Amino acid sequence: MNASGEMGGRLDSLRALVEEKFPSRTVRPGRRRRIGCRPLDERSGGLLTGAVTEVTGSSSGAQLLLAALLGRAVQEGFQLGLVDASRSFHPADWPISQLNRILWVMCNEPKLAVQAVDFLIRDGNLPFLVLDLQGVREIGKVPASTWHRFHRLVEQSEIALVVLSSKPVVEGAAMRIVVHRAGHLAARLSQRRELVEQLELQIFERGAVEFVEPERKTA
Amino acid sequence: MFACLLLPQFRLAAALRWRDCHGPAAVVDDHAKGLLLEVNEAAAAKNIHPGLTPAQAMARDLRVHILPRSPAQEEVLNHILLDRALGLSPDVEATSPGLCVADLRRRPKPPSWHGLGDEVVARFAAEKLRASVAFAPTPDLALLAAKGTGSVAVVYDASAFAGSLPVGALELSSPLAGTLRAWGITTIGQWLALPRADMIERLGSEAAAVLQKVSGRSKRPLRLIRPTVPYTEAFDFEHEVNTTEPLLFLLRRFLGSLTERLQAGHRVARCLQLGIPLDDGSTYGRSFTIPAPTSDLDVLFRILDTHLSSLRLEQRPVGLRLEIEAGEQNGNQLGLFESALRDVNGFGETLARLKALLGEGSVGVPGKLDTFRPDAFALAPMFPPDAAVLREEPAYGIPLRRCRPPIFVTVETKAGIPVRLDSNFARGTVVETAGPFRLSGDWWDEQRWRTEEWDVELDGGAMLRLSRSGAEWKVEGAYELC
Repeated sequence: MNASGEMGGRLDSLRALVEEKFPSRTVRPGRRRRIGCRPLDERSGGLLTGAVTEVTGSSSGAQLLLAALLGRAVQEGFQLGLVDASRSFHPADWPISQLNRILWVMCNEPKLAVQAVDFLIRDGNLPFLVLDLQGVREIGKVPASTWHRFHRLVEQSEIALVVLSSKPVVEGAAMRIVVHRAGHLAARLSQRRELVEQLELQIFERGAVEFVEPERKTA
Repeated sequence: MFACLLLPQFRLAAALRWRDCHGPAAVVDDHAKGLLLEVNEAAAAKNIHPGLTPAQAMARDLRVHILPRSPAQEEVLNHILLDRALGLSPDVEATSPGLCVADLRRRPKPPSWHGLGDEVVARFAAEKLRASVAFAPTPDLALLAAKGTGSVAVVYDASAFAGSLPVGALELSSPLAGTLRAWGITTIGQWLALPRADMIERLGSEAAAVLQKVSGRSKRPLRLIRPTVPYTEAFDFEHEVNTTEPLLFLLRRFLGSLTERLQAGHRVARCLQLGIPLDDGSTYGRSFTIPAPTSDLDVLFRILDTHLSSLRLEQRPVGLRLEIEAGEQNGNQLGLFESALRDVNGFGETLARLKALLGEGSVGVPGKLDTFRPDAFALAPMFPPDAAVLREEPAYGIPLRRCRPPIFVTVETKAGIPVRLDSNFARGTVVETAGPFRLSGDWWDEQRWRTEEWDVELDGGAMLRLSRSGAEWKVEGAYELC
């Protein structure tokens, strides 16, 4: 067994010990919540709660996934937090019923966005948190330890944290969804619900064979 | 019965409130030749009495605390007094500063008047205030009884009570007081024993009015107040303060007193108004709406604490004001499909922290404005209460990601149509266009605007929204990033 395997084994035994001593403190991730996006709901049962999901790839696809989530928020009556690291959310393009469900947090830099997410996770009032890092240049400045901290925090709750990014950045994401381009310019005349139905995406879950880890920078 | 609530040495009590002041103390009025107005027992024991100058008082005892009057605190004490009186009866007269009378004839008789009085005095004591409470068949007798007691007095027999009072307890004019003294009359009982008609003929109308008052046979009508007592607290610092610590310390004590009053009236705080008078004469003001109205001290204090922890002022505070807008506590019945926030006040606090971190105007619930102006939006502080809209409105196309601020680009056109785009943000040949979409607005005033928008798709796959104003082209946003 190599060093990392040994470390993993020791961590597992430590986790088991904590779980045994403090059963009420441990919430097992893995509950899934449908978000109204058929390609995702049918293939994986929805988004994982108590876990971090990363959505990478096309920005138009990520926006349509957000549209699906907001549609479900209107239907089910829950609210979600959108931490917008590039201040790019455009309210004019969204129905007012969906806007009423969003807490929009505008940040100028990823560091502040991460801090805002931290506040909202600890608050625990919003069941879905979306951290939009698409189009942010300093995305690599977010240290890997931040993502591990977020994993531990959301594990203790029923919150689904969704990170939108252009390329994989979240270390150890429980689920990674790669969305493909949602269409061409003519798509602006199509109903958004139809575009969501036609979304092409690949889903990778932790433990599955083809899990894509973010690129690591070598020193 | 009538109840009289009195705060003895009202001006001194107001000046001493929120101060740790032990030993002899006196309050001085700057507008009355700087003479002492009221002194405490420790000062009186040193032969310091009202009417002396501060220098004379200090000559008798150097340790005497000479305090200026505190109009803000006097107002607060009056509010507390009226609040307590309104807790006894809705019919209350604000007789004078530090003194009020409540008409208890409409309320059921308590098991014990003394017990009721002790309860009221204990409530004042909880706020570190000394009060006298008296119950009597007429307002004037209640007032006389309150002035003569240290805590609680109950007058059952009006003539027996009045008869035992010294003449000095009445505020008589000096000629009348002199005449009575010359006659050797020291108590009201002796005075009342004189033949009434002859005595009034000899002493005049003033004696008739006074005797009518103390006889217990006339009940003067009270000048009732409207029962709207503001929940306010205030304090003026002797010197400017440089840190938030004294402000937080006082705010906690303010809230302790105010929440107790709220709870006694079964009310909750809906809004907090914070005022900080500054050394340049201006006042910093801020209003906090409580997401889920409450009378919980810790919840209300956390809201103020979060705000003050990030507050930076150019001038130094010289005082502190806090007002609570109170309301009735009403239960919220949720709709069948509506899910409320788990901890609304906790969420409000998180929003305050986010605003402190990111600045005002960076956090909220987005909304639309009634205009076609590009990038116009509203930001509400909290989710709307009627958010349970089950029907989803139709939406079209891919949502735009806006560039804030827009990015200037070089665009090559052919017959007015963009054909090539060049910039650091995006570059390439335009393969598809939609537009132009000409927009304008506010033509009636100086803020009028006009723009021309194009949606373009580049050969590299990027889908952008461009705008043109004259010869200037900008990228307003992207449907698909490069």
